[in-house]
Amino acid sequence: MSLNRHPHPRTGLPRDPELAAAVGMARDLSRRRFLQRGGIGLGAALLAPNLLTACSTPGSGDFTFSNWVSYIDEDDSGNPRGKGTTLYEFEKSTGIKINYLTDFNDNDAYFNKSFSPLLGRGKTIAADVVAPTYWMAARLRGLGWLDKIDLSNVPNHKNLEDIYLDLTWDPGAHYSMPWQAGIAGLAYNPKLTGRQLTSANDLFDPKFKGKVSMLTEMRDTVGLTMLGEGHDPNKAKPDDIHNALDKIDKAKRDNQIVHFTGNEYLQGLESQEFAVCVAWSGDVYSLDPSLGIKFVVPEEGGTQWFDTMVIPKGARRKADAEAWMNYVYNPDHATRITEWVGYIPPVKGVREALEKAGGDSAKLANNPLVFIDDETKKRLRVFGELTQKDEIDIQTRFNDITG
Amino acid sequence: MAGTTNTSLRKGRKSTYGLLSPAILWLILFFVVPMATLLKIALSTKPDPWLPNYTFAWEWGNFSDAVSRFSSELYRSFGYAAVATVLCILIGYPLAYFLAFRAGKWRSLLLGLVMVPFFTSFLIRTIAWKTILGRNGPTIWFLEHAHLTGVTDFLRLTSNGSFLGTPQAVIGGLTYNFVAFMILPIYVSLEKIDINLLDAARDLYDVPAKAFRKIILPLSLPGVFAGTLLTFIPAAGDYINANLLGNANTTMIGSQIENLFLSESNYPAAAALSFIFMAIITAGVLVYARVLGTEELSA
Repeated sequence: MSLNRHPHPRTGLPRDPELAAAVGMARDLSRRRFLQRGGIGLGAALLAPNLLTACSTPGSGDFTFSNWVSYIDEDDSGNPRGKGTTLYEFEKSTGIKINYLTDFNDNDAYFNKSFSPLLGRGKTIAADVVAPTYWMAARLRGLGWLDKIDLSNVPNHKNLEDIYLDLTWDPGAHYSMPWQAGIAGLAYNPKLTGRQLTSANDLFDPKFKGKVSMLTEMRDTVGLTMLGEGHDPNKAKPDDIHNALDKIDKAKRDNQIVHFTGNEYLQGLESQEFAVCVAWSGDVYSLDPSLGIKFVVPEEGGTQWFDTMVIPKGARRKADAEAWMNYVYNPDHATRITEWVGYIPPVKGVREALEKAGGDSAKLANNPLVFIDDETKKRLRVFGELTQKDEIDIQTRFNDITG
Repeated sequence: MAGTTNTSLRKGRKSTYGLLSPAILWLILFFVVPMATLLKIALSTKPDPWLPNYTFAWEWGNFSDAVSRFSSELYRSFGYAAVATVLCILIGYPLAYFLAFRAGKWRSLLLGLVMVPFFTSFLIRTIAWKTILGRNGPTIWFLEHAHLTGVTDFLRLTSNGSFLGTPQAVIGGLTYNFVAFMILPIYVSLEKIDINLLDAARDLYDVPAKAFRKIILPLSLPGVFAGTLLTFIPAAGDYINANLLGNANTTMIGSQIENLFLSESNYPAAAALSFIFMAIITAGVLVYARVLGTEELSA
């Protein structure tokens, strides 16, 4: 599993497990993260499906964390449990065995396969910690399907970045502790666009007809389109959202936008099938720089998101889950994860730790996509909360458009 | 006398049922029960979309809603599958004919070559086409250097100088992936034909074309029929080709059913759509069987 190195975890792979494995393999063959991880050749990539079954076997540890794929540090051979990795060190220092799964590959699919059928009937799910995206965590909280984190077990909670303390659905962060955060903006290939892009409306520039892709993550795709229209997705009114959907629908019918993907768009960027994509920041960080792909937060703004650790109701190993949360909220431990995944850490002190380490780590400390400057920060918006009815109307229409 | 026949028949019937019972049990468990469950869900409502509760309510509206919402995907799925099936016959029949009558000592080797691609996963093969036909791939490179993209665009093989993301690419992928399922049954039915029949035709001063029309074609129709079923049904339900080789305007019914289940958690609509899809296929197969006069099915 660890070999599927498409760093962005969200809606990353097709839902069909066989298809997902194949796409993951194809991706391995075509693209390799350039940071500190050579060593994985064709042979290892072809073994990926076997590893996939191997690492999703429950019972290999006591407490279970279901996370997105390629979302934690690995050793040089691509093993997330190898010596010196976060998982290895956690087990060594706490004595708690962790069963680390990477089966969380889609918020809605996990909700409909696991959360809703089990938690909705008062049963428990296999995982003690999961890392859904913020809006899914908010939904789970609203449904009463989360257990409250015992903060006395998590002294490092104090290292949580302040912005996460005043979420409307979880004031004080008693039910969720963010795992990683990121930005959705534009990724483009200057060789194909022939110019620098700065606007979210460049997605609709007829010059790029047939070479544009958008994300299947509704909030990012619709959010960026709304920003281009001059609407703030944080204060989204259903009418504005439907206007943005009209625009996307028309562009799709005109063959302006040709694909709606999870992070398969990376392959499209690499093969020059796509000139402009709605993209996630960490993905571009992981691309080979020689491709010349650029990521930009549009002048009208970009959307910000985070995936957050929550404890599903009735989790059997709650105390272990809290010990894990405490462990990864130690800035030194969080730094190791940040260095590998290239997303925005929600933990205070990571930047300082990176600067202190020097070398490549210090370079990362100055990466504007990992530590966002104030200028960019002003342009970032979190998609506003939707009522259940609006959410379903909008998601249904969005699915009709994306197919 | 009559009495004995009766008992022996009854006895026979008993043992027949006895022999059939594993199969019947299997069918009940893995066909009838799931179908009944599916139908029940298709006729239910889901009061709260986020809670796993369904209310059975004879909700026939689910069916009409599914048809009106997904009519274009339904047309597309059956349209693509039909074109791909016809292409499979056009490619597969001559090939099977050659294998059966003309290949001589090469027959086993050539037959093996038809099978070889199946040693690799269906997905890998489809993804390979993506690379071969992609903008950065060898085909486009060649066309661009030979300044032929204008011609291929005109012929509708490419659009905007790209093979991928077109209905043609999806149909091509379906044809490629299912053609072997057409070749093999046709080959089997051709191979069974008694060569003496052809000699007899020749003795009676028949011309080859007529011999083909009067003897070979009718005798190979069961193979064509089987091949059509093996090609058309999975092709209509396939969405991998549409996802990998097509674009957002070529989605087929399979991915919509998946979306309804996993993304919208609208199980009743998904179940209704699945039923409609199955009903159309069943009706189509029955009509086709009648037209082609295949005894087993039309009887």
